[in-house]
Amino acid sequence: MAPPARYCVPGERLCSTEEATAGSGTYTRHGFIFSSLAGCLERKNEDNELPVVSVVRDSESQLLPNVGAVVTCKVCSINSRFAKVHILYVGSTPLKSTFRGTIRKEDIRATEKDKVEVYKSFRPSDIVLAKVISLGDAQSNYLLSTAENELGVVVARSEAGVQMVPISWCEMQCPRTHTKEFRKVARVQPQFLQT
Amino acid sequence: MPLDHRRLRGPEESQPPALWAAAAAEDEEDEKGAGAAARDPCALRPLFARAGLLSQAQGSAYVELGSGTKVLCAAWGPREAAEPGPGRLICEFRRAPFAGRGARGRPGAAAEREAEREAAAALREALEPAVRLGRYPRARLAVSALLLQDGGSALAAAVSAAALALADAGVEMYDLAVGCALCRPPAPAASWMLQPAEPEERRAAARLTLALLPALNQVSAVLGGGRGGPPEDWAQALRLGLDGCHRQYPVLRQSLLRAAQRRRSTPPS
Amino acid sequence: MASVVLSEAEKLYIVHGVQEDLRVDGRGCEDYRCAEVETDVVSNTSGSARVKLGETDILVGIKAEMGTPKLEKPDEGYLEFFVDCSSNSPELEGRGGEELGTDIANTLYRVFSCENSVDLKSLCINPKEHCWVLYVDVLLLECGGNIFDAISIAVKAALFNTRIPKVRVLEDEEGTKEIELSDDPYDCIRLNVDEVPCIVTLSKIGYRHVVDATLQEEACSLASLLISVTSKGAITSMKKVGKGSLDPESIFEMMETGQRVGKSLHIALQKILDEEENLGTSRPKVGFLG
Repeated sequence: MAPPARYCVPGERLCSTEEATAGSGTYTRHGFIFSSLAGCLERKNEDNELPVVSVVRDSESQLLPNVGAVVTCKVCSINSRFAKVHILYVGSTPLKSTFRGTIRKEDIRATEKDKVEVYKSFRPSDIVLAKVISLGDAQSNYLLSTAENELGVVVARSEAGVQMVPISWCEMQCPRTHTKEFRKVARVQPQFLQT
Repeated sequence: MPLDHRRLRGPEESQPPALWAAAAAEDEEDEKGAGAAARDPCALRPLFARAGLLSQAQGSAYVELGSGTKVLCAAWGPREAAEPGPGRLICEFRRAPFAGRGARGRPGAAAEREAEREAAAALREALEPAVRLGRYPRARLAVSALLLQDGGSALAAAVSAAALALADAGVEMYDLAVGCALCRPPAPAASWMLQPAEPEERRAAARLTLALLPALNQVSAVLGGGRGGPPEDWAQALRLGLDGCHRQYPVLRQSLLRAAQRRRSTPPS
Repeated sequence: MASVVLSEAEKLYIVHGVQEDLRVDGRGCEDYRCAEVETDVVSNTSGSARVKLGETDILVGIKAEMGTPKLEKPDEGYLEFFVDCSSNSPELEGRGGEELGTDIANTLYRVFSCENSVDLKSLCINPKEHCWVLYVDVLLLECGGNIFDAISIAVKAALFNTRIPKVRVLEDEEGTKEIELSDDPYDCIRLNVDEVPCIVTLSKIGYRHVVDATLQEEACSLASLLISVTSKGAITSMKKVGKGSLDPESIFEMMETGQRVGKSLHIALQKILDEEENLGTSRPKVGFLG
């Protein structure tokens, strides 16, 4: 049977930095590791390396989209310059509250940026994979980019309301009406597919 | 038949009768005051703390002091903020309309709002050093304290409760914050007293509210005033208050641990 | 509050300088900047003062008006503070300035909450009915750091300068009271300001603390302690401001420093005020021209 879990509160000293490395939910000060969350202490031993000490809670509710993170978002409106989206997931963790983001026209594709048109890339209610490139300034919110092969639209519905199938890197087809619509299609990597 | 309020014209201004009956009440209070003076100035009041009791808030805490002060706090984790920059902590302090002794204050009255706003600012100053705001860029954290009953040391209790609520919400923090109030009775040679009750606080010659980050041994709030004294006198008060904070810490810590365990054993559906 | 943006290198320069007791403008850690105090600058007030502390520029006007005493204290007059800091800095326009204003006003109320800072009983005309209310209006003309200290100096100077006309209460046989204003405009009461405290702000920079921080130094400081000190060296109120926290030992040190600095500040201020007073009408008025 596993030893009873140790719980700790913020500010509790866990161990010295010589014994372990600080993981998530901790911080270091004056050569010691302290807890920064109220939760359960976890110690992971990696081979030959210092164990990683972290404090975990059951739900990682406090996650924020940070620069470089891949996020899942839903398009809510488009115009000729940018698409506005709601960020729903960071990685595979759902967010407790929605954060708004913007995909600008020049951040949609990596190449031929000048020929990109927003309405040929996204439509409202599309589900898009994107990467956070900046936290934005006073005028804009999170700035996102889909300028990678793996990023772009993953789920889209046709005008008939049926989920479309990607047929090329810039087109999707409705299985019922066989009409083709333009999208910035993502090549979803197999490891991200969940069934 | 409904009463016609327009016919029963009362005076335009009215005053609480308690003010004019003050003389009689004072004696009674003095007796109580004598009893209070007999109280050991270093003694802490019984403290009850419980974290994680509201289901709709992300984090919550309830703190009750033996003197009758009851504070309920709720905290919410990061939400989107309009302005960029580091995270911001938004604090709110409200008094229930029936919190105080005597006549019910009109909620939303200017003076009431002003006092609440000042207490909220003090709460923010006390909590900000404890929260790792750098971890929450472009987001705001919110904590709101509701004073259900004012039995003295209300702000101090609110600081403790708010810190518990934030920790319970899973906000990353450097440390908890523990609040403690002190007062000096009006008698000339009186010494400082920990955790005054409401009548003691009202008549005190000087008051002080402290907040301590116990694990880091850092003082995050000092707020006090009243009859002047040499620095040594205030230093003594500070030492007494910090000691009081340290002594309250185990109770608060226990309550948080219990909440964390409860969370673990009953995973959210 | 108005603030400046400093690079890390600039901050490091200031912090290291403070460590060596040498600040950017050549002062030591416990030195104030050169202060200019002038009283009686606005003629429509009962008392006024303008204080320039380095870049910081404060104008305080006090108007004495007749009002009814507060119910809890029927035999005392009272002070009302209002701080307006929206005038010149664009950052302080609107909400931000309003918040800072109420914050400063609340601090002033706390500083003056000590019962003997001003003799409020002398402001009473007849108990439960009439008293003098002193409206203390603070204008923040320019903000160059350390506004709390500058404001408290200006308030003290303005209170020193305040002249309240003498009134007499006449009662006839039927018990109706009448208030009579003295005919002689020079016949007025003055306030005793010996017990009026001044605020000393101690800003923690690195491991040391400095008084009278400039805007640049304030940007390097995470936490400061406001202490109000009377001329006798008694501390009447204290408050921590800023995002950071302080360790207990440094608070004790700060209180000692605050008392020491506050006492000498009071002596210097009183000397200036007395000198100005003795010049009488021969005093050349500088006003806003200087």
